[in-house]
Amino acid sequence: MRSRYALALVAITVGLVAVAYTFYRAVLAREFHLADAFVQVSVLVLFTFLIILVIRYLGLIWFSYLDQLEDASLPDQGSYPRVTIIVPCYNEGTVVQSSIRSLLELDYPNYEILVVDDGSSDDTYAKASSLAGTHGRTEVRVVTKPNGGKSRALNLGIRAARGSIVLCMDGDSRLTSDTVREGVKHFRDPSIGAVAGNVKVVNRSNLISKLQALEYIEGLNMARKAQGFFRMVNIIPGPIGMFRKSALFDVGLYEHDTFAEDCDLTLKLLLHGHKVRYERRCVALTEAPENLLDLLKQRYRWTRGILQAVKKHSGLLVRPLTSPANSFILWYMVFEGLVWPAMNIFANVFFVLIGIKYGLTELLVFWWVQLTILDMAAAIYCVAIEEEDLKLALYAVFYRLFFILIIDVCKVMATAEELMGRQMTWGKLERKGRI
Amino acid sequence: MQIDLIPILSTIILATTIVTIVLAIGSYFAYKLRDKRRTRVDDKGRIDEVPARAFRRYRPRG
Repeated sequence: MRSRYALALVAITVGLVAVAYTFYRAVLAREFHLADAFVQVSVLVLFTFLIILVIRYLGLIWFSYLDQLEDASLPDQGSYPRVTIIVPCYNEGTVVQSSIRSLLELDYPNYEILVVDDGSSDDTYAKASSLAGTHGRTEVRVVTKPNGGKSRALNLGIRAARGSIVLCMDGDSRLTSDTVREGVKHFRDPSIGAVAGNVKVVNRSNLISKLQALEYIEGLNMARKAQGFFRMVNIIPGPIGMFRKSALFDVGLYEHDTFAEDCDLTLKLLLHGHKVRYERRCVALTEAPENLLDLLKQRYRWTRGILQAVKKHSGLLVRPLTSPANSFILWYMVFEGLVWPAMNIFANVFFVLIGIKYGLTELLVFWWVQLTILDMAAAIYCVAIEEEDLKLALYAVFYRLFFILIIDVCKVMATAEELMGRQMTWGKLERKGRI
Repeated sequence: MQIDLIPILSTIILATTIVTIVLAIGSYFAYKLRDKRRTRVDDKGRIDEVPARAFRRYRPRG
């Protein structure tokens, strides 16, 4: 692990030196013959974008590093409060038994498994019920209800839970053996209301799924880790979240009026004064979309859902003095979900235009190289810290070259549709059964 | 060497960016079209879907 920290440090140092050098070569050591004020302003805007990106990356990396230092000093508490693992299932008949069996192998002495069948039309309930009962120290319970969506299924599970801590997951995710043990440690602090887990992509079979694996590590987990330092993680991911049950009742459980019920619940917890941490060893393995259209479907729902959750609590956006920290979180979400994707598209289109029209191709190359170096350095840092396969960092080139742009276009389109009030449906991602 | 490399790189970056933007917009509309077709199938009850709904503004209780 020590060598991984060293690698992370080297990656960041080399990245910063390389960015500083290319910036020097691109701007300071060359005389660009800028045709007119328009081009000068354009260049200024694009380098401002680059500087914001550098500040964003450095901020995230720095605070995630501080969180990592804190994390390392957190010992096993020695007491094990009862944990209820809630598994909402809808038409998971082919996998539900293997899911339950894998949960029975977790390394934690005091937990129960509660399967909630959300009105499946297949044999999910029958198959899950065949495993109901006591298995060693662990009890498996199965309940069923009419179909009503994941949030209602989770609420039913929370009400029926016997543990003081509940772990909510997806029916098609898998937990690693020490997930519960690692997550529970944080609840020793009574102010902690929830712990966001670490979602890892298990199917890394093609370029799209590999890029998502990198994105989960670099884009999502690094941000959560940085937010975790402030105890203000803004989205507890659906595949893995641990909650103090009393905190859930305090905020009124999951609600059904957004398409991102996990984001909405997290914001409610924060607004009620509960702290939310991130635990990188609290791992859920999930299957990512393997083709572009399924990926866009997922991101479309995420974007609109997050915007709906922000809208729902938008009062704090205009009244920051009520709760400065929570207001900051909401503004951060607006920035990440709305402003940043739009800026990225604008920067790309704008640079293509001035590159073609004014022939500033050299500037374009330096600008792009700097972005890629930053991505690569951040990717190596995150992959090293997360103890992942280092080869994954190589995909940072493709990540910058087309992945981010495609996702950002989808985000901007979804935002426009949300602002126009277009209707949308949940949809169900088709899984390939890789887990 | 550097003089040769930069025009090549810039051409690759320009071309990739343009193609990616076109691909991103095209695939977004392809996704919407596919979604629309699937929703039509849903209405006949052949695929499980929660009915369409619009977001309603949150009203705090109490």
